[in-house]
Amino acid sequence: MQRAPDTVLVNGKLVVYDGAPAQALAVRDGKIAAIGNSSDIRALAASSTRIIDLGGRTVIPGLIDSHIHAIRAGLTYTTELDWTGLRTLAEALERIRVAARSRPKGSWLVVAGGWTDRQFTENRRPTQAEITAVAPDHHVYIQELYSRVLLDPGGADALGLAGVPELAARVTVERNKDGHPTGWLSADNRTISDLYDLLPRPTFAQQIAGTRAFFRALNALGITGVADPGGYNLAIPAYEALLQIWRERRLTVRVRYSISAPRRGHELDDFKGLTQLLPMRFGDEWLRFNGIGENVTWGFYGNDNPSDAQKEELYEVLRWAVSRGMTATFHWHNDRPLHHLLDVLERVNEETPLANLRWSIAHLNDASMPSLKRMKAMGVGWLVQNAFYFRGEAFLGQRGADAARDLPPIVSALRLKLSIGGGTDAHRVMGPSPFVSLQWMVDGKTISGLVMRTPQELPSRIEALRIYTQGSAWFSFEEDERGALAVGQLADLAVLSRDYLTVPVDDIGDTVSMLTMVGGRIVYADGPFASHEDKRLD
Amino acid sequence: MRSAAVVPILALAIGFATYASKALAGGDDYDAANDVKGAGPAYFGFVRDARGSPVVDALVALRPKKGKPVSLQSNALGLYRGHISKDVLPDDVQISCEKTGYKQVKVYRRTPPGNTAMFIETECTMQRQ
Repeated sequence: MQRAPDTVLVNGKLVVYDGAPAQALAVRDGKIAAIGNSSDIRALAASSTRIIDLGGRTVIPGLIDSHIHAIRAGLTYTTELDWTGLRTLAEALERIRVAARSRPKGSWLVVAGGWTDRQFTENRRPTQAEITAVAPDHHVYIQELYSRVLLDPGGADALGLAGVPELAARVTVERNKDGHPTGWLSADNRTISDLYDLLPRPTFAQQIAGTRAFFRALNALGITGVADPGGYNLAIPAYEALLQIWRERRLTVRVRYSISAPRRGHELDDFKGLTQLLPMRFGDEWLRFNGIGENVTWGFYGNDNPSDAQKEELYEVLRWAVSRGMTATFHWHNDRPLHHLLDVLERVNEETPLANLRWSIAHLNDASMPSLKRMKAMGVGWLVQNAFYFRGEAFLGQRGADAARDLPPIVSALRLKLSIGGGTDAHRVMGPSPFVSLQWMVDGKTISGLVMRTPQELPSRIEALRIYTQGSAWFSFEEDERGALAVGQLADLAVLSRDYLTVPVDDIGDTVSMLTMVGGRIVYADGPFASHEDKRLD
Repeated sequence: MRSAAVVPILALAIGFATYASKALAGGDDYDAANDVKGAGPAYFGFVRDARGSPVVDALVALRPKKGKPVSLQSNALGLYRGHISKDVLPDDVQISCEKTGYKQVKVYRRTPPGNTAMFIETECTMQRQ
């Protein structure tokens, strides 16, 4: 006879993808042991079983962000300020004022992305005078996306920017109509990232605290898993905080991570060295290595016009990755030059089929159907994020309205049976809320309310949720283990504050989790469920 | 502790980085439309009412200090987009919008002043009369 469940959840509204509607489930040994109606599931409980009445709330599979810079975000989560979701610039400035009261004079107050001026009712960015007024005795660094940085009047000096002429030469000083500097500096993504690297680093203890706090914040949004693609501002030693938390068995989010190329010109040697004792999928159910990327080679990272030598360099790295059975994920923005990347992938694919390796291309917001078909033919998937939620208007201005009506073509890609994962690309270019991304998927609106996408490319709520759960799980070879409320799957789930399936679409983005479970452990609980949160290890 | 002169000093130290043809000012990763080189900056933006809804078929006038004005029309999204000339400085262009039954309430240029930007975004807010 089977042992009684550890936990049963009853009187809920379970979102079951491929089965009968259900109101309850039982959890045993970290997995879903049974699903059904409340009376049948309650009958499985023994005196030792924890019984939680959900009060009719909606339960979804745990959300998996398939492209989020979670490791980097965690390092500074408690030492930087966050403007995600704020609706007024006044509130944003108040956060700086409050932080200035408690932090040592002369220290840095940093907001490193995750916001856009369009989210504010004031409809503008802050000025240097405003940040100086709220933090007269501190240095202030405000980064908008990867686009520009606002510094206090002494900020550039404190960063030592003039002492790095190669970097300073890549920066444009913004000026007002009278020709005076405004305090804003603009540059390309790499330069902005290099500017950020001039800031003081958090201590190791701060990195640990920040990572744990950030993962808890993700849990509060129903996130149970992330795929981290490395990227800017994340040197290899910076992984140590994550590894320590994992060693201490304190992770509350399942982390799948790929490694970006650390050094330009040394990509293959560095990957070989880093993975000598790190085979594909090495790790456990909490932390697992998932290949290389999103920067596979610097020559193909944000470069729409790679040279023949850079193509050859990528080809050699990918041949090696294939020989090691490794997956790869690629950062790529624009469809027009995508053929450069697809040509190299097809060359490798001709020698050794890639289909079983589950490679992916991230972003590609203007994906064309011919490109997606080429990806599909190789078994390469697509990682979609809600970049247009912040950047839609800018994209329209650059390309014109006609170019954007079907972008990104999510429904067409689903019809193609292309593998798609959902995500945010947080924390520089977007906030981490999966519900903001889900809302954007189903309504196609920017943060300003502009409807960009035609109805034909708006997936249903269930289709979007599947992308953000089962779809994302596919990219780490785990769609049979998590991503659905089904018997035998890991008990990763979220009990929501509102019914995702029926709430007005404009309200989806404000949804949060009331209870988040990972592997049967309640890692986050709030409101009526607060007492059920499993005791923290500390 | 303040050094009010730091930013000007920085500007001297680094010079004025010119607009890079590939990396869009502002670090936008999307490739630009290919029409901005010959035709000059793209002037674009949205015509909206006070509630943020698009105002369709509004006439948007781009008036340079010298030369002929250019008239554009907002589409179903409230979006307008067009060029004047590569010889016209964006800071010398006045933008206004009009539509029968509406009055212009506010014109806000989102793109900061300067002569290097290739995408000049200006929002126009209108109110039904």
